Amino acid sequence: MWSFPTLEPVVLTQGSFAIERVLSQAGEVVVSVGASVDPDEVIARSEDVEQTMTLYVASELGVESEELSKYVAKSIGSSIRKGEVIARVRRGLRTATVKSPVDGTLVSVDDSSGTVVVSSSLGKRDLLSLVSGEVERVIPNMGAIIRTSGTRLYGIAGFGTEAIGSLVVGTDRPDRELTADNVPNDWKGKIVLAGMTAGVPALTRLVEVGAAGVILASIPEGDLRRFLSGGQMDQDGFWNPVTAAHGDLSHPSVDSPLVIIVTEGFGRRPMNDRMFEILRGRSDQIISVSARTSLGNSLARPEIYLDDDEGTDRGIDDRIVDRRPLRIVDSGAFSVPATAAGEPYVRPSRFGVREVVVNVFLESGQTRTVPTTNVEVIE
Amino acid sequence: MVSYRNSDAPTGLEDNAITSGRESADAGASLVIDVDAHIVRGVLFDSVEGQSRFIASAQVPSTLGPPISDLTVAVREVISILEEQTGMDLDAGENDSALGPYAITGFPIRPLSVAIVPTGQQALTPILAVTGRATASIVHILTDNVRTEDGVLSSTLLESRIRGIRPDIVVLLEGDRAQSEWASAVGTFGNLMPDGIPDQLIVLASEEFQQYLIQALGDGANLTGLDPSQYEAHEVASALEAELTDLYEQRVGAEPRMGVSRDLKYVSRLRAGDLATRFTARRLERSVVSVDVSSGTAINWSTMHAGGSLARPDLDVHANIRALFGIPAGVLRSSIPLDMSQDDLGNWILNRALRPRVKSALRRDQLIESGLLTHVVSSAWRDLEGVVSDQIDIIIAGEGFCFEYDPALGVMALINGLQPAPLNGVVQVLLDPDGLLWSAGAIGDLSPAVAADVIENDVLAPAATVVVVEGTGTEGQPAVSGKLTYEDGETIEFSVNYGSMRRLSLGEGDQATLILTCEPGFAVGGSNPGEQIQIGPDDGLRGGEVGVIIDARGRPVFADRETLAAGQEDVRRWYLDLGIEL
Repeated sequence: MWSFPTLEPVVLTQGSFAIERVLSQAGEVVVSVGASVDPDEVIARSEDVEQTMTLYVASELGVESEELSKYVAKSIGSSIRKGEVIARVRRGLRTATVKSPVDGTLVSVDDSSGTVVVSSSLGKRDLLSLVSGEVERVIPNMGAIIRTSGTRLYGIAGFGTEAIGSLVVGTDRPDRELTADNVPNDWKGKIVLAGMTAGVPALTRLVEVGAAGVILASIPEGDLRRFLSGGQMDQDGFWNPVTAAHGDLSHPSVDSPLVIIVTEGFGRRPMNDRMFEILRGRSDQIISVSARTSLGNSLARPEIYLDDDEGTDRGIDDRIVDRRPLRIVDSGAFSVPATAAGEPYVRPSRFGVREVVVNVFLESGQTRTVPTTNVEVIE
Repeated sequence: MVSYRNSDAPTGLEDNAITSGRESADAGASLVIDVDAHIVRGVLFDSVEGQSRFIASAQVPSTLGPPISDLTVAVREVISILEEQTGMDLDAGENDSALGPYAITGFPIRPLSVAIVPTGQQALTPILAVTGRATASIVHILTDNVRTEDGVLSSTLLESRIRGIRPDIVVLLEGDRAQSEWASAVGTFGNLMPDGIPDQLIVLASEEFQQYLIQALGDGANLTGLDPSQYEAHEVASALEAELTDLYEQRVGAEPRMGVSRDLKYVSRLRAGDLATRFTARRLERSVVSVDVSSGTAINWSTMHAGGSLARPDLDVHANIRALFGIPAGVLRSSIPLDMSQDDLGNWILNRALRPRVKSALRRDQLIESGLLTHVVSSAWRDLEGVVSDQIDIIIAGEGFCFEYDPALGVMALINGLQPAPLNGVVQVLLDPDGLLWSAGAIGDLSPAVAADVIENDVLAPAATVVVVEGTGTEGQPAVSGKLTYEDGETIEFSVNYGSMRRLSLGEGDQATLILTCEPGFAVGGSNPGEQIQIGPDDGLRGGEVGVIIDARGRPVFADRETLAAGQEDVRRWYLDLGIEL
């Protein structure tokens, strides 16, 4: 029986674990098995790949193919931005347009087929190690598996990409909110521990000063959506894109200007004490964060890596045993601290359905019986 | 239309039901494994006093998806729990005479993704959408969402949408704009196919357009096609349904044994639900709807002579809860009996999406889930519009509607979602926490007598009887008055105003008689104004954990309210009417 989506505890301290680092497209792996790597070391890079796209512009404009050239708004060879008009035609008081779906270059206009070809670049990408460790296995053309010693914390949702930076503590308690006034000018490149949450003004201020990332317990979805989409997207468009079926948590076109790691969930809840305590203890140290989040069949949760000199290669499990620290993650009241009072057991529900539950002690001293699906092992 | 089945075709269960006992008792213990991405359930049937009966069930969270991605783990766990409960060896070899047939149902692999792309208006489009949804498929219809403001097919929007969906199958339809749009559509798929999207392209177009496509895409593409003008619409739909069903079953068949050494016959959840629902409809001569919300939503509807089925693998209150964002926020909020802002409800939905295996254990969460289930049911039911009727006599719902806090929450979600308006004014709501209906349907494909026995003996016990008072009036105006007389002579007198509900206690197995008198403008089952109506056990009045509900809200239930607050206030009042503490 497992709890946390990744089948492991939320917190692993001074452990030995392996992380898989892979490019999003094939490239060159620049490390070999056994090599020692540092967090900011490039382990693989993908080359600039050109991709062409044929756009059926004449039919989209409703003009004859052979007349297409008359309506093309850009010259061949010119660069073109995503959303920029490629061709337009006037129809009475209205103008019909075809816009470029990508950043790229206008390659050709074909009046026989009524098409325009646009080329775009997938860009170069350097893949960093993110952790100190040793290359355990090379994944040809894609990346490597790196074994490292240290502390790893799982978040539950992330936005943006990856960051390495010095950790600064933005709030003194896990139930405090980071405000814009608390963000000084010298947090450029920092990863900020924000406590319970941060509103849009504070997130905007973090971007202004050039912070690399922020770790917070929770955030209301509306705040996050407004911050990342500038208030342009509604809940359906932002949180339920057509790619949701493939694991995307939010619309794939939304880029976050800084890495945001949410550790508990959506809403306003304090950060788990243990997680906050570990992070606060690493103030001014270099840490790495990966915001990659995927639901469903391509499961991934954000990760925070803290280097330790030593780690023990003990087994990692999330079995619920007596006195193990937990958090209860009911959808409406997530991240409630608790301690296991014994081991899970099977009991019939009101309807006779046998379900696995566990008794827990709450911080108030009360006990509660909770389905094991609703608890996560902290450490 | 293919999903509108002629239910005169026998289910195979009826004849055996008549002679149940001997035949089913000889069958040995039967096991059904019901799996999807949310749960794995094992249901065991065996002979008890000459009849096949439900013996035990067990369920655990599914291991179909990550991080385990191995269904056999959950299947073995379920079997182990059942073995512990019953002392039986359920994984014995094929020659063990104590064991009968085993079946697997549900969605043991991910559903197919199907995109329907019409080039202009095409009458087949909605028919094919309904057809696709009668299989284990997520159906995307790409019409306005891939067109410019002028209504012209946009190759860039189409390509972007198809890359986002990454469908297994695309159905490209010749429509009334094919002359001007066919080349764009074909060219777009020419761009996509080198990237392996889609796996298969089904072309429904005249020979001329098919030839153009073949020449443009070459021999390498996986193409099938037919000219729809040469066939009746239902024949085209049948062909598509067969194609999708075969493809899904082939993929299921390619999976290993699912952790069981015995042969497992796969019966799709829709077929299992269809068999059992049809059997129930014919046996009781009633209109029956079965609803299951687990990983996705499945609905079967059947009368004596007609029926329909629908799967929405992309809609539920677990991993696919984000589909509810497609419903306007005000509408969604107005069904929740609590004061929640749009952001609060959005947070709740996203927290469930992040941790989809979490159960609603707190009262507040159960109230929210009940309200959201209303929309899951109504959205799916709307997809069957034109196929189904609201004249529903019996509703059978799976475990997703069995709320620990109060079973009336599930009943409320079903009544509000389906809004039944039965001919005789009486609806029985049955809660089936063990999923016996679907398991019986699955085993019915192998051993009809077992299924018939189980449905008759173990499924058909209602949780609630709902009396629907139809008509309109002003809020608070008396709609109906009446008297419920119990077997021991005790009576409860009541009156219910228009726009309200009333819950009357009548326990499982208890009998009572209900006498109702409708006010002018209101009726129960077509009664005349002022006419006294008597409803007894023979008319479907049966006791259950929830009891009897008098529903005097008229139809439709969610009439337009001037403000969101007014709608929310109505919903809160209905929950309170049923004695549900908020």
